Amino acid sequence: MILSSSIGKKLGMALTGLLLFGFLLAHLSGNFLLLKGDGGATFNAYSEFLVGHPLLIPVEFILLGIFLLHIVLAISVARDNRRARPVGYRVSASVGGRSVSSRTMIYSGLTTLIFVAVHLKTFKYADHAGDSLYGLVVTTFTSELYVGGYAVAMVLLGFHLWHAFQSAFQTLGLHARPRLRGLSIGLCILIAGGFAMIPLAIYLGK
Amino acid sequence: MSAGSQAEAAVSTERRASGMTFTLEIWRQRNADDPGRMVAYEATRVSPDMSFLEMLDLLNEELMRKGEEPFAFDSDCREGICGMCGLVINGVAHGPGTGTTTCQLYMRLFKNGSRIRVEPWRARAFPVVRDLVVDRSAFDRIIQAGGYTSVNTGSAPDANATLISQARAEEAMDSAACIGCGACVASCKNASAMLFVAAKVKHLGVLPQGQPERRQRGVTMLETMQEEGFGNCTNEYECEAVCPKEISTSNIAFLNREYIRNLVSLSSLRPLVTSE
Repeated sequence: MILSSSIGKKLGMALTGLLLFGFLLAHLSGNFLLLKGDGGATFNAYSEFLVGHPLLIPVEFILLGIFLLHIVLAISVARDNRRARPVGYRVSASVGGRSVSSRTMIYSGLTTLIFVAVHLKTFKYADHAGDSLYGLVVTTFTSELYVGGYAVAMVLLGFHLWHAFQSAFQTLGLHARPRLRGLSIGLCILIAGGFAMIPLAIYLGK
Repeated sequence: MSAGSQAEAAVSTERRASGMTFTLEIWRQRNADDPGRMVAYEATRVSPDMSFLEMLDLLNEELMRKGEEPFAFDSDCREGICGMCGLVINGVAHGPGTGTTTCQLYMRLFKNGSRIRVEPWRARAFPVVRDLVVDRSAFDRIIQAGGYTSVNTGSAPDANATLISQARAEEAMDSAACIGCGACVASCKNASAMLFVAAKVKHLGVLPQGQPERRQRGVTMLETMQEEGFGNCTNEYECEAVCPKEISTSNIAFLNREYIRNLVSLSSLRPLVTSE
């Protein structure tokens, strides 16, 4: 019932979105271990620690649930919104806060979904019996196509987060736009830039 | 006065009288079933001091003189306080002015000789009745669903019987300034009525008189908003930019807080606001 109401859907999106944001920060801090320059020893130890952890599977299921709920609600909101204006304007102009980021949320979100599928296939569910995860990462990022595609996906993710972060706080009832906007921009540059920089650094340092 | 200077004066008077010229593209639609189309008209001899609606009146009179059918548009007070007028002018609800209704928009804001496109509010919940006139009774039904307070009838209450601080009164007045014109819906890419609902919920919700229904108000008004076919808010803040009363989207944050408070409050008997 809550998730069928207009604000309920938005609250669901805001909360799941912020949790996914937290996941991205945790993932990025793990990825920075790739740059330690110790031949991947720390990164491999970290990855083995996670894989061997008994809570990994339950946490992964929770994460999957959050991700799916975010997507289902996004599609539902987008569908309602499309129905709300069957006949559009001949001329339309933006005078408020609409941005490239805000108007393409559904598309940047869907490309991120495709990226996640490819990403999981490449790293998490890849057959790397003979190699460490670090070895797999370094081998993968010798491909220009993969490094380029990864960077493009991160730019789109950055666009998504640009609108998402401050929007989530407004939905949760915190209207402090200028400050949140600054924080939102800073965090999305950190996340998108951080993720995109790692494959580039590996590619250039090979 | 010499004959020459008389002629000069006549020319400059004629120039003043000739005024501004615009090419208008106006949405024409006979009724709700007609698909409608944009029709171009020339508006001449427009004074820069005319309001947008006066310019449309002038054009309509010209059409009638030529035996053509005038186009329909809404207006009432023509002083920016009733919420009746509302046109999307060059893609912007209420046109290029800030904090103004269409009736308070003056032609001097437009470039002489320019092309001006005029369309009605577009939303599933605001069906076009004819030309530029839309049916906004969906807003009335949202108000009926919760935009009221219960009061005891009888003699008028004593002036200072209910104490309200100046700050609280100002806050309520900022939200109460909403005239229900529907520009927020027209400008929202999702045709959401969230700013309208939020203004009403906050206006009543911060005052003691609004407390008895406060718990249900946000929920019932929102449900009606959805049933009427308005979209969801995606925090793009186009609404506050075109609002003639400059209602802030902080009202929407207030509405969201009301909704959350309703969800998490354990006791339905606990008052939401204590007296000041």
